[in-house]
Amino acid sequence: MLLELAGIGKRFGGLQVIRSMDFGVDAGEIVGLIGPNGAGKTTIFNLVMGVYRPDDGRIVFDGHDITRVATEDICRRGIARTFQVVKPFGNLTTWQNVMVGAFLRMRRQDEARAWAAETLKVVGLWPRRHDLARGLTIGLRKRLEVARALATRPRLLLLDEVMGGLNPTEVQGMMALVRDVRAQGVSVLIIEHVMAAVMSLSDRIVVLHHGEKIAEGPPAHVARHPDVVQAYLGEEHLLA
Amino acid sequence: MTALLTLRDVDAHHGDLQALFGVSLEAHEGEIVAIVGANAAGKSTTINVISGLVRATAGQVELEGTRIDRLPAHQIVERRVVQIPEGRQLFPYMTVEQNLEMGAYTPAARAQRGETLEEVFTLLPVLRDRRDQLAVSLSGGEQQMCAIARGLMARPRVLMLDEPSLGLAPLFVQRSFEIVRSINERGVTVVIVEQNVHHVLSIASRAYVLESGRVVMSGPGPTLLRDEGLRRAYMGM
Amino acid sequence: MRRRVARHAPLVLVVAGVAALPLVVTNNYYLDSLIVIFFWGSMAAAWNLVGGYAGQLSLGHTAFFGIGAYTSSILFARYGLTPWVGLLAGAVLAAAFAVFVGLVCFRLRGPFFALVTIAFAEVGLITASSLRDLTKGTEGFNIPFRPAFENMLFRGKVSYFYLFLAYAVLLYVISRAVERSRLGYSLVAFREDEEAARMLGVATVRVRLIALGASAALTAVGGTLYAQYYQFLDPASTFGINFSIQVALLTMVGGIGTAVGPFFGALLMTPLGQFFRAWLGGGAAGLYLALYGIALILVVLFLPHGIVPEVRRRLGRRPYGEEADDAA
Repeated sequence: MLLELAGIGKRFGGLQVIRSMDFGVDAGEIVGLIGPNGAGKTTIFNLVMGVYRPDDGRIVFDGHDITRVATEDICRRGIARTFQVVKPFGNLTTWQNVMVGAFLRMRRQDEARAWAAETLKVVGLWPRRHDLARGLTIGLRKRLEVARALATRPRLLLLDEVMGGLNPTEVQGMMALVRDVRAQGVSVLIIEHVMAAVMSLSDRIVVLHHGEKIAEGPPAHVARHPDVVQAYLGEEHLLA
Repeated sequence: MTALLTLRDVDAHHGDLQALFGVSLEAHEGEIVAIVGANAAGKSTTINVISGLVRATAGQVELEGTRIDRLPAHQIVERRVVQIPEGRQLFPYMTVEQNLEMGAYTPAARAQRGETLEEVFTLLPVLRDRRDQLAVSLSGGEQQMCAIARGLMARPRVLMLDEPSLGLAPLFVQRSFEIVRSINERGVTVVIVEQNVHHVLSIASRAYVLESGRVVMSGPGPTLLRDEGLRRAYMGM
Repeated sequence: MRRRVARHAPLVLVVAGVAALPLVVTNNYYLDSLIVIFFWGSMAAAWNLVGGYAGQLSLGHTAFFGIGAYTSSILFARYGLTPWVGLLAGAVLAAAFAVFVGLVCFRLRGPFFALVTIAFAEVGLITASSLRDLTKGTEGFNIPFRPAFENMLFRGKVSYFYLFLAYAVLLYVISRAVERSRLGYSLVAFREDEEAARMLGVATVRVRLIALGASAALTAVGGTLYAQYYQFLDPASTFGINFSIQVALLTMVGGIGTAVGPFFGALLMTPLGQFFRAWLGGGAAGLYLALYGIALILVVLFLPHGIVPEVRRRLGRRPYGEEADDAA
């Protein structure tokens, strides 16, 4: 497994937010992480990125224990993430934004610029390279978020609700982008509420509810899993 | 019979994020209407548009044939369309009675405040016992009742509830829906937004399923409850 | 090759033009005014490295200025060490102090960071005033006037003109180099969104310490130049909060996070300040501070990033970073 969470537990004050979490992402996979609101999905991302320390368990990436590694170093090791509420560097252009990511791997300005240009082209933002990030529409800002993360040359990309707020055309475009990303050898762990999209994209789905994993498996299997359906539709829902 | 409340092709945005795409729905007088759907489907946004908290960027909202979508929120309440927001949102350091009094804010409601308060306490006796207690000290279920009661103080014709079962123990969920039924029997049209479909669809004469800001299914609640398409709308496949 | 020439040509032309000024301007008053502009521009540019690019509002930069001024002056007056080397000693001391301040302060948010930097500067002020044997305290420290190149002391204004001009050009060039570098991008990323920056692998503490250290060192060198020009130091003028406020203000008015902003701010505000001081006469001389206050309020209200970024934006250009840098 490229990324492995083993026995992860996290408390905030008296509240157990994540309980005994085990799952992983294999190299080359797209894994979807779904679950009703408050299930703990973004907390998982924050634990992996070192924003929070787990109270129990270990996180292993590419054979190395990263449980206690600082956030800045997580990206260096090859995990990049996007944010649910996008965080562009507003006063910089699209190109400059992506260069920040590129500079992780390159020291020289011309190399970082060139690599950022490459990334912009792959993601389809090249025509907007000189536009200020804060002037972009939400669809483009989400794309920029992905581009910036990709510029850091990650092996694993964590996408946090990257489809949120996009119109159907944009959702299709983003799905194509996620598939391109995987085609380039980057594994993807994606949190998503736009169910049709995540079910279509993912090789495997992990379902969280109240901080626990309640199901795992191929999308078709999970979509009919009684515990999952109950979690989403409520107790005592009768299947047809 | 024309509808009491109508939404026609409503679009809504949060900043430049589009949340609703051409949503149309109706609530006839005396009905219980359910709006269900997965997270971020646009359910809360829909009733926030009705309440005037979110501006519709396209389409119309009509109350008895008159457009209300450009009105400020307090005027919507004056027209007796009242929302019980998600998470209750009581005034924590005011007493139960003070919270209820705040509910009768509009001039019309204020004039009948004493009378309404009595009616509310009769419907929900627990609140009479706790009338001088600070709202923050109530249990989850009691807070829910207080929130509903506060909404009733505005003497609504249409009462809208946003996820009333959220965070409540199963027993209180049951109780809440019974209270909603009682209110409806008194002639109040009810619109309920819920993720938990079981309870709400069994009591709704009309229901709409939202997915990613669009209405994907509609019909009588109990019928929808048995439809495979409902599961598909939630699960995406 | 042609691109590089095109990129550097404007600066070279401007510098050449300015450098030719003493040929036509012989009035000492005007020369002094220009020296003062070069001086404040440089000091603001040094502050800009950490205050503008990184967005860390330091109001304690006077400490670095005072350390630079006193270190080289004491070494010169007491031990005969040439200020050209003494300035290095001042720079190193200031940078070390800066790293210490940074380690303490960088975890503090917003106004608290600024407040603690003020406190550090006050410590500097008190130290300078108290160590009378070393600094002559509030009596003031005189630099003996022995004009010679190796003493960095000159007759007349013209040599000082070129000294301060050279330093201003150096600060500008350093700013541009930082702006285009990995360090510069890291600082701006931190300023724009700290959380996002960290997630992209930016070592936010380390880069800010580097920026603060460089900023302190460059400010300290400015202190040496100041000492050599005025040949008199006292704690109030070298460790006083006025300096800290001035460098922050000039940059905020001119344009934070741009190489030319601090110089533009100095060019704009210094003559205005002098004019007001002269116009309002002795009793109301302090009123020029009101001018600064008004300028600050206007900037904060209408141009929160300063004049230069706003003008660029209006012209349809990007506010930060030079377009001449683009490869494609």
